Amino acid sequence: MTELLKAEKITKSYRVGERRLTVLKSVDFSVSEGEIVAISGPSGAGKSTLVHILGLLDHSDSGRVLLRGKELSRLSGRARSRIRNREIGFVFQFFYLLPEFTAWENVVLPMMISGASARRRLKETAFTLLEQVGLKERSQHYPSQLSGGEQQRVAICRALVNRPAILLADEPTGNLDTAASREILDLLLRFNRRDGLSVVVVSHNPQVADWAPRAISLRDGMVVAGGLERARV
Amino acid sequence: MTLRRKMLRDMRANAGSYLACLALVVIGVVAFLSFSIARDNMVLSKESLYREENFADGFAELAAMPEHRLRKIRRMAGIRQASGRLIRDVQVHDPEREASVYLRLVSLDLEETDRLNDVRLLEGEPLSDKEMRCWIDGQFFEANRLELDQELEIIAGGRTRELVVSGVGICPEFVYPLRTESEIYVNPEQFGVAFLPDKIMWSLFPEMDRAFNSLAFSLEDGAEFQDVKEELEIELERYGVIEVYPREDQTSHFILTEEIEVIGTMATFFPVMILSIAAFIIYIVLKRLVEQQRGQIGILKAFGYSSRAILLHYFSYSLTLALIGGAAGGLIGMWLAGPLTDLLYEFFHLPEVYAGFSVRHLLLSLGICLAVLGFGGYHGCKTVLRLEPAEAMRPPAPKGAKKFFLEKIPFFTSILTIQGKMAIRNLFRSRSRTAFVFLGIAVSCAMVAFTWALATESMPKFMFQPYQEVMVYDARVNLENPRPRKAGREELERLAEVARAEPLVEIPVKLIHRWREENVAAIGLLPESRLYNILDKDGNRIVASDDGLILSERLAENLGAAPGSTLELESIFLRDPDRTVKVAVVAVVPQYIGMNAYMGIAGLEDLLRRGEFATAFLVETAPGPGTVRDRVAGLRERYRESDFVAGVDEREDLVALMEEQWETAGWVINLYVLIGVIFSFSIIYVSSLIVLSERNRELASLRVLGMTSREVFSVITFEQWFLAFFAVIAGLPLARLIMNAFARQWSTDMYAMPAEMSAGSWLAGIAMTVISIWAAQRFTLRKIKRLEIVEALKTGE
Repeated sequence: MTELLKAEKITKSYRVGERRLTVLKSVDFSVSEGEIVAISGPSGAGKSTLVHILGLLDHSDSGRVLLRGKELSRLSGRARSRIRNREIGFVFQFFYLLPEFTAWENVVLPMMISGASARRRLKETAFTLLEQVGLKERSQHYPSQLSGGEQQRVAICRALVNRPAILLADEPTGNLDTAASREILDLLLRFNRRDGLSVVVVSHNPQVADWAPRAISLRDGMVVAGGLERARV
Repeated sequence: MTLRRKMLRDMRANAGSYLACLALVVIGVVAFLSFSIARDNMVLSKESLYREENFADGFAELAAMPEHRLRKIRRMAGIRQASGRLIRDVQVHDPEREASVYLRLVSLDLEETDRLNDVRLLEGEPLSDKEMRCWIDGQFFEANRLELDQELEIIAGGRTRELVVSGVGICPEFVYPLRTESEIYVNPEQFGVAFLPDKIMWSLFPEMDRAFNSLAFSLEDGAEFQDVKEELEIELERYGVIEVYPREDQTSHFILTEEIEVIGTMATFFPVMILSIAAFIIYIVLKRLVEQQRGQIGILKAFGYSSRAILLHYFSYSLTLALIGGAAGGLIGMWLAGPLTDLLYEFFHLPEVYAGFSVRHLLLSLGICLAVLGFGGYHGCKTVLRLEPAEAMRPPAPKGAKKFFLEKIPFFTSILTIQGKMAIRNLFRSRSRTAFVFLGIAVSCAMVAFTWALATESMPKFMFQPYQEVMVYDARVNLENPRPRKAGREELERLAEVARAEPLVEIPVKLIHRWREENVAAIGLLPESRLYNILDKDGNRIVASDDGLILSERLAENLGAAPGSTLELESIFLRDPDRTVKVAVVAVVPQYIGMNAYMGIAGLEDLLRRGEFATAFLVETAPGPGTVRDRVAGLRERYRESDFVAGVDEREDLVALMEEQWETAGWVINLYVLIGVIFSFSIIYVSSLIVLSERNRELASLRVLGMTSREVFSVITFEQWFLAFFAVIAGLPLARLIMNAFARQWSTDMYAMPAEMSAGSWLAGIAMTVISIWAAQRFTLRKIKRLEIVEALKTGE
């Protein structure tokens, strides 16, 4: 498989009072096209920080991030925004849907940011995605009118609407019950199988790590285990 | 104890906001206290002067009343005490001075022990009715750098006399001495008051031997002024009563009271503005803090702290600021009140009376701070009460939203960008904030437009129009007594200094319309007058009619008269003063200083059934060598010892005085413009902070989805500009309303403020509001650029 996103020797530390706390210590990580990788580990292991750096939401102190072999670490703010918009999809534990927009409007948001203005195309793409996640009937509802699982499904549609190369999901089931969590993981798997979408899922939940074909484990800012491909659940 | 430590830690962490709020509280309290105490001191000083110097309750102006008639006046019902005075204006001759200098000579009865309107001697010696010595008012004494025992040359009755300054004093009647009704500012370099023994006055003006032309009286307890006035008018009719008026209409008292009221307004206006902003800041800071510490609140509640205890904890942030700010501001304010009072005393030459340390004021300022900041603080943290522990430990549920009504119009939605749509929906979602920002921008725009119009249109028109467009003569030759106008005009026009002379009649009249009456000066002008213009609302010249009176707006309003109304006119200048004559109103015109009635000079003479006469001549100087000032000085010199000429006034002197006053007034008005701009800036900046704090995560998630900082910024700016567009539209009529209210409030019988506001001022209001919004947004952009996406997304998790 072709290597899609790669992190080389990523180091990241934060100042905590007088001290510096190193969260990532020279971490190497890569994900190939069409691959699903779970990053697991206890709280404070550096999982979310790694995903934030991979998704260009944060800067590393040292090391490089490459997308299809092209280095992203030194890009300007505008170029990083463009890559976030077109190449990377994000899903978070707390969904972060815009409350003043309907489900459909939330989904088309990244397309509009990228400059797409053909309303028909926007409508079709967004409706298709919402239909695929079973929310076609709820497309005109506002986030406050949706359940947690439904909100997360809208967030997934929003992450995929620009057809990104990779989806970064930071604790996507962390705020959901077991049934809803199951639905979300199934969805991710479906998009991976059908569209060849690469997915990185961060979770401290061992079941999510078991679910992913490949899992790495972080502890104290270092990769302690990983790279083993397992049979899919 | 733990919560107190947490409070100190929180305050340290966000020291900038708390310090800004504290600074505003201190400034607000300082403004409140220093102005309030200064006002109270002034009231105290004024009242003590009035009480101790026996300031009269009413006044009467008349032609001449023999001294012995005073006894009868004193016995009249309702009158407790009455003093007769002879009051005359004279010129001071100073060969080194170009401008005319006048003294108002006021007689004092040295034998009367408890004189009304007595003079408080500040320095010098008592007067004696055997010497030509006088007491001089302090402002004139200082402005002209006089010394005790200095001789002043005055021209009284056409003769030069030496008057020796024996003392310096202050009289409640002349705290703010104005020479004519067409002046609004004191000019102590050119006009002052001198007090002389009545016997000396009678020797200076033998035609008024043992007679008075002014009466001051006080009322018995419970007596009504109006009742006494009616009786007095009847009693004084045979002595040529011109006007009987109460203390409230006495010029000096009226202006001093107005000025004290202005200081009182400043003591309210500034602190209210400043403390409102402080309250709003504490509201925002606490609201933000409670949102940020949602999890902590949940844990504290879970540990057993009651909602009330946690509310009190957050509420105590605002109370702490109120107490510290109130106490510090209180002490500084009290300390500053002294110098401020001294400045005001120096300006008004009031006796220095101080109320001393005021616990009442200190407690009042603390109370106001606690109330205002308590209000802001409580509303900032009251959500704590509603929050259940489990709910608090979860992130807040998304707020409800719906499409706004304009979105039903397809065209409108199609032209909106994604940022525009977000911004507008957010405006409708957060209605109270939207209302606050809308109101803030509208008020700011109105304030700037209003102050701009005041600074560039109303005030200049009020101060300069009378001297630059209405009275366009070079000099005015005032006569001692009415003289034949044709002969006077011919004499003046023969002089080398004079190109044109126009006679003018200015006489006191009483105008009556139904049950309303007003005592004013009626002015008779040549219909073809080129030196005195009567102007209508649009600035067009109106010819002085021989058929009826042209009234100034205020006079017409007071009389309830309009063109077509018929008035009754009484005057001691009527051939038969016991009769009244009827006269029609032909027009009403704006007039900014004083109120008058105008008529063609011949028409006025006919009305009075008198032959031709003039009380003054307006002069246009002839072109030639030297300046206008030189030619007026030549004219003044010619008539220095004339029996007929009371003085020669130069218009340029009045313009110069106005320009001098304008420098001070202009500075104050510019300050108001600046306050408007700061207000607008603060509103926008604070509203941006609220947006940033309330929507931190939403804005960060937009950044995650690929928006640049500028695109995120445009969500906020679109919201503000959209709101500003409508707020500015609402602000302009508001500015007009404020201007009209201000003009109405400020206008009195002595002066009328024109409510001028052109498109230029509106444009200035819009421009300054736009600039302050733009500037506030630059600060917001910096904050957005510094927005840490990851941190923002973590907040509240």
